[in-house]
Amino acid sequence: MMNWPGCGQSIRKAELKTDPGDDMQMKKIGLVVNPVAGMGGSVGLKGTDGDCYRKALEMGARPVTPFRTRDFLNNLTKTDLFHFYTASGKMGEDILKDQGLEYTVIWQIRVNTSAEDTKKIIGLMVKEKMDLIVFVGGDGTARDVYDSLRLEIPVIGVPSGVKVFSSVFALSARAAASMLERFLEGAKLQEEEVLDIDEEAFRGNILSARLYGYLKVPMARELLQAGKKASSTGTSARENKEEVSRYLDEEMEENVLYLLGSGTTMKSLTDRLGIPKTLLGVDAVNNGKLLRSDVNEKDILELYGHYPRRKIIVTPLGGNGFIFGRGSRQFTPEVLAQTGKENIILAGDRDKISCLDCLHVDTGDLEVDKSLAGMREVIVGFNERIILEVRY
Amino acid sequence: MNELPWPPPKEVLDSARIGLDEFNRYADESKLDELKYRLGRYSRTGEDRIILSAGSDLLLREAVHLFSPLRKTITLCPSFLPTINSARQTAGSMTRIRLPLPDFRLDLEILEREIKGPCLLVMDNPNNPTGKTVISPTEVEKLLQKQDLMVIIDEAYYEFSGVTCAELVDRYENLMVTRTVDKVFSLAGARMGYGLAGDLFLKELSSFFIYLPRVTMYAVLAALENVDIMLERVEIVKEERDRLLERFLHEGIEAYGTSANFILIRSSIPDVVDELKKRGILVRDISDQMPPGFIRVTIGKREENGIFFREYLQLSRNRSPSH
Ligand SMILES: Cc1ncc(COP(=O)(O)O)c(C=O)c1O
Repeated sequence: MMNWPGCGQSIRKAELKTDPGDDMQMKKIGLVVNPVAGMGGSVGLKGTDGDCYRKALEMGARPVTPFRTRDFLNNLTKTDLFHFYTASGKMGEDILKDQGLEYTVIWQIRVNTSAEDTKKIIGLMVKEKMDLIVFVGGDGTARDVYDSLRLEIPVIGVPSGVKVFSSVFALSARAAASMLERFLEGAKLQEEEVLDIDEEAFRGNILSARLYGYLKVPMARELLQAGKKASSTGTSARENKEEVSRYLDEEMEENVLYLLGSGTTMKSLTDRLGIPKTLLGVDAVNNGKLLRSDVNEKDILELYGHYPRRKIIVTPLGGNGFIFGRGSRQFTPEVLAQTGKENIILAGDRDKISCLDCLHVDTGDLEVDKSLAGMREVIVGFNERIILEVRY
Repeated sequence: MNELPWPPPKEVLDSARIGLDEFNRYADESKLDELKYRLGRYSRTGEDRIILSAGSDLLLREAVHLFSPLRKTITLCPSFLPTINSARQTAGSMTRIRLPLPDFRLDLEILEREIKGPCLLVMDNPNNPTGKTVISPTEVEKLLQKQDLMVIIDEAYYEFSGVTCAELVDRYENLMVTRTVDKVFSLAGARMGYGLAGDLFLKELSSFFIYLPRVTMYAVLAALENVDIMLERVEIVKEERDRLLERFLHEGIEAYGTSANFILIRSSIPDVVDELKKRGILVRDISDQMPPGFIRVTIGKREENGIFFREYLQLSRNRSPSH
């Protein structure tokens, strides 16, 4: 990777010399374009990962991201307040040049780019201390960004891909442009999900997603694809989560072992309790105190030996409504069988739950799945519920 | 907003102008009484059961604010959002029951199970945005027997569905039916809705009195003298609705018929609402309460429906990324 032609340190350094981003006023905005994302769509392929990309080309697919990126750039305002940092060629430079925008190239690409390029560029952007990174692509791109970024720098996801299910993405390229404007105006940040859709299953028209991680995005609920419109009572997603966790907190009983699943709604509950949360894991809580963090099946079953009264609180996955079988693998059929349907509490973000047609379980054990099926309530606010069906 | 595509008939506009002539005056009470009398005739209930409102949404909000604080509020998901949002502000507790795909059927067993203790049940029937008639008058009557339950049935689309609980308000004090002239009578700009209230609602809402705007009052009086024009329009809309639905289904596009003046389409076109807007077509993005891709399309004039159909097909055919 280091000896790719044309990616010498010297070029980077030379270009950074006249770095206008040194000016305290100017925000440093990174732009990463995945040039192949979304190409499969027009030829009926779901994604351009691996072999599919070659297939897409053979079928005459045309690039999508340049159009999306241009759409995004075209709608930008306040361009005097920031400066772009990007990679050469089709990963950013070409389009910025086309649009007559100012930029600095921090990475030279080869002819064939790959996920490694995205990761490398993000890594450089972290080093160069970007204020925000804009990436153009799909779920796969979001995962690559997450891999080298985590929660360090906020991002804006411009949707361009076949699989764009993660809630980190803006509603559209135009919405992404408005988000950047919000960011410049000092909008707060919120964490949104990055999903991993099962490639093989998805190509066979089965949607199964795993929570991959979280990225920080400017708070502008109505511009994000998950909840689309802010509810007219004006509550933000964060306020909603606080409402849910306040209710859960009030309802929590003494001497009961609580297993809290992953996600920001549960994080909001633990924040309330003043204890840490493993964002992508399960934590055990008892009488408001953290018992053990990031527990696995073995830990849970061991704890069950000590606590006759136990409850699981989980959040359905936004977009597909999975409660078990995706995301938290720690809740194995064995654990669920020992817990019992009546001891499983569902709670989540109102905007996300309102859009779900039903909930899903797929634990791998049909009997357990059956026992969990039926009409269930999900807590979506203070003493507010939505009842919907759990299917298997 | 699910309005009718045609302006009000000449008779209605002429009458509205009478209201305009003495615009320095409030609406006269005798005329308001006459309006109630006519609405009573039209709805086949006593005129004393009519509550006039400036739009039915206002009356719905008032009733919800009045009854929800000490009751468990039960409603549907999806549903008419202004009602839900006002319930959220006042309700002690709120439960929404999902109307799931593919037929948006309401699980009556679950509904009955949820009605425990003092409850307020608010249902739009036909439901907006699914357009489904979710409950029959017989089923509503059965629920009305329950102890300490208040029921509001929002019949904003009654004229399209032909299904009404109006006849029950004489016998059940715990029922109110709300309706609107905004949609079917081509009077959305006039903003008038009304309630058909059972005794308990009448009593509790006795202080809810609105001097309707004169113009509105005169317009509605004339509209009620020309019900046949409205009914004709409703028939045209229903025919157009079913025709448009058939055309979409024929193209293999996922579309849903309704018993109201709209259809639903589950679109796979990216940014479909914006794309249609660019082409001068306004549709409602309902993905805030529905799975992704759902839009609600109000039935317009035949030409308009045709244009929409063609533009939509074109969009879906060249879903290529170039703009
Ligand atoms: C189900 C439902 N109820 C009530 C209303 C409000 O009607 P009005 O115009 O009388 O306020 C609407 C309008 O969209 C509606 O769809």
